[in-house]
Amino acid sequence: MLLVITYSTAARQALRNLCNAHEESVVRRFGRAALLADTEFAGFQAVRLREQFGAAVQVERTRPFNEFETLREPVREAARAYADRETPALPYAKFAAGTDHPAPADLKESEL
Amino acid sequence: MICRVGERTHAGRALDLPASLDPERVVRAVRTGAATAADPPITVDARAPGRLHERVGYVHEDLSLTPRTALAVAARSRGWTTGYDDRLREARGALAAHADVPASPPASSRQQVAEAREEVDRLRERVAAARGRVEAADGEAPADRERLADAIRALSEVETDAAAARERRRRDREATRAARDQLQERLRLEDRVANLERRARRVLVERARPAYERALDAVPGCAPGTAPFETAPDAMALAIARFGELRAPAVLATGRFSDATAAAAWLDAPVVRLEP
Repeated sequence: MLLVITYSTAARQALRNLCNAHEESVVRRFGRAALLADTEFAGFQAVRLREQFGAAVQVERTRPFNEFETLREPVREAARAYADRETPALPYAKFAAGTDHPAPADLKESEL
Repeated sequence: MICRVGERTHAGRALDLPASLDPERVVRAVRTGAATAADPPITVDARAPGRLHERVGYVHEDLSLTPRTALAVAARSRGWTTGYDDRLREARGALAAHADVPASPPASSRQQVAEAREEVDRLRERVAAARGRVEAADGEAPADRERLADAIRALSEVETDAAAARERRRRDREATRAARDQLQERLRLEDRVANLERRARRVLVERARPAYERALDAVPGCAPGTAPFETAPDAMALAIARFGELRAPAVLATGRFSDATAAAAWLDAPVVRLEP
């Protein structure tokens, strides 16, 4: 999908107009951003907005996130265990310390 | 006011001008002092217009009007203030002080990355084909080996170009991200100003509404009790102009008054009326 984020009032208004006129192409709307369906029409609109508003329009192409394809097993395991922790206030760094779970610094340095 | 139309000079607080004049030109003359590009030349010597004049200084039946905004401007023209004004001044100051956003890098680096990638793919195929031929000939054809070496050299060159293009693209993305940080901050400041303006406007409209509704009821030809913000635009404009301070003469191209003197008395303002 195409994530279109706007950074000026004029670009935000243009995106709103676009979303109102083409609801079928809009997957999700946020305040000044929208997720557009992965079609040439969305690409056309994104380029048009970028031509018109320059850096005030950011366009990113998103893809579905499948942790079973993208993440190694220990990371998935750590995430599940941390979500299931008994003390909600415990930060992950402390939770992981002294266990086999990956340290946050290592996670931050490893690209997906 | 003194108003010259061609050779004729009109003076007074209430002027009736012939309907043959283009009202838009009269309005321009009132607002800027002169409309001399076409015949007859019109000049006006009167008080300078305030912000309210932009909204309701020219009254005609097809007027496009946002009545609440205009009413708030009218309240301001009378010197009314709100509890939001200090914050509004501060927010406007912060917005004005916000640095200009640096120009964004052009799209060319995206295009260069895409083109370089295509070129790399093309040459990789060429290298693979040349290698296939060399292997098939089992080293028997020196020309094939030569072609393979050429293809490898060319590939290595475009790979270097592609890496350079990606690096430029990375720098452009960083620059754009910095520009967007600034744009986002400016948008926040603009939203803050707009938000405060909206709140101030609501307060002003609420407070001005009784006087406005009385003025609207008094507009000639306006039925009493009409929806105050959804009635004829010229009627709303007249009521707002009566409530506020236009300073410059109002230009009327509406048949609601029999003459300029009656209109000036009703509005308590100088009037140029174009005879219908």
